[in-house]
Amino acid sequence: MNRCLGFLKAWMPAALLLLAAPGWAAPGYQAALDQLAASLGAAQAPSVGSLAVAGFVDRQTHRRSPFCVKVEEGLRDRIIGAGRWRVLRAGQDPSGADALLSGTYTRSAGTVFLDARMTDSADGRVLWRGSTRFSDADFGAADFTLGAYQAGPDQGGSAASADAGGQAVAQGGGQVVPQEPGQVVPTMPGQVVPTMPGSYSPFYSPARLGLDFSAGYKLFLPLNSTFQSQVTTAINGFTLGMGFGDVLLMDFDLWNTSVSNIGTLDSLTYVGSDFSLVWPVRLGPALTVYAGPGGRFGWIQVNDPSTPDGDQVDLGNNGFIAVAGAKLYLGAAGLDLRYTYDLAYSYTGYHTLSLGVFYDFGR
Amino acid sequence: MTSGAKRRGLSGLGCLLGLVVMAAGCADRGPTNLYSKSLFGVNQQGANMAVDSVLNYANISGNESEIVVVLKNIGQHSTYGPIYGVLSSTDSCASPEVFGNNQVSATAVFGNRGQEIKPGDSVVGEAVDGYGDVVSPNYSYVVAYYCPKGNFILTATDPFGTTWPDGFSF
Repeated sequence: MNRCLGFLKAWMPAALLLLAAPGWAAPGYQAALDQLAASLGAAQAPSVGSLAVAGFVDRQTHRRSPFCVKVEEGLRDRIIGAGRWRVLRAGQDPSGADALLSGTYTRSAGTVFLDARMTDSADGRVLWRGSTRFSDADFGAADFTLGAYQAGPDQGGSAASADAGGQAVAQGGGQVVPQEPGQVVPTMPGQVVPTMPGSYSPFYSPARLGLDFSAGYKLFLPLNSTFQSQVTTAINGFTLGMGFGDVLLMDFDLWNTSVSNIGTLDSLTYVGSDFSLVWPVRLGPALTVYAGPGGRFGWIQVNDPSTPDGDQVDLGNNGFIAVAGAKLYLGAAGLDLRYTYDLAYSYTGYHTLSLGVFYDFGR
Repeated sequence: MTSGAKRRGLSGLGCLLGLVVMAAGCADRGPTNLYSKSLFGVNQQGANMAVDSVLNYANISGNESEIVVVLKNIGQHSTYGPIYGVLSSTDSCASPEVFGNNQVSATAVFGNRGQEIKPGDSVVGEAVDGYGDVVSPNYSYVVAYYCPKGNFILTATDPFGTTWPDGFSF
């Protein structure tokens, strides 16, 4: 299998060379980009309001070169000029856009073959695909140096390297490629650019408000052994939630469970909330994982018919919790799977596992 | 929905609002000690109502005084009113009688129905009539003790049936 792949790789440039044979002369870079942008502008993409142009890589190595930045700048300028979509600036988090324009290039025998495609950030669906070719005469050898980034005019002009502020993006083979300062390399379905999770901006960008509301089911597994033996080991609950920028999470919880063997006690009702400050890591436009500490505050209300009317007995149950979860975006809505563990508590802590649906007003 | 249920709902909202301003969390309310052991294996000291002061307003005669008893919760948790305090005497004389507005009863009442009496709270005893209703607004009541010196036991009982006996004399 590897031998077959090696064979194909060895002969791919030759095949491309045949395609780029005399009589099939490549146009200039600017004209090719104009053609590509015009084709993109005619795409049927009514759901797209904002567009990010990022993540172009060399097709064979999946590494970036200064040429990638120039292509992105060129396309970005043309799309802005067309005025159809709002285009994110270079360095802005692409997950804040409705769609992502990305692609790959191959250089062979003086011709550059460029493939581009626009994908829906919400579900990864390819909305448009286009390709072009042009002569590499407008570029120098340094432009195609993989992994050596030279800042473009909008990043300050002068040469810069990874040591000058670029983040590192890990490649599949364990190589580390310098990344342009401020550049966020997106992951889109089908593109094999395995970025380190930490290469994403953890906080919401100005293009993304990040306010979401959720509702869901929450399973409470009490930690107190007496409670487990006298009442129950698992309680079904309901939760309403709010989230700000995927950083501050608030849940309002409710559960009720019957009690049968403690005096005249009839049932217990929990009304409470938990607040968490989490660190989100965006693994792609549709998936964010997060973890962090938080607090749980609530009352376990005693429902005892023998309690005089108007009197209430509430056990204040507060705790310090650890939270971990994942949000799967399906457009502006999505699923939130979350686990919490009470590290310290008043009466009983819990393992909780919740699954909710949310709607994000910032997408 | 009962008034108790409404109170619970409002209390829950109050708790959540309190959390928004980063309050210290949700505190226990009521005699949680009655349930903490059986539910969570946690022993708690509950409310402890003790005689805080006895105001002897006037010696009406040789064996009668007009007094007001004040109870204070010196325990670690709260309870609810009304707390009924029954006076008895440790003397070998006749049992004392409490008079309020010409009503006769050996009982004084502390706190209102549904009033949470938290640790450190004091409640003033009021005279009640023969039906247990507060004789308002006269707080003071006349104790007839029929002895040269009155030594009394006040046995206080809350709505949950917890009793706290305490003594005083005048």
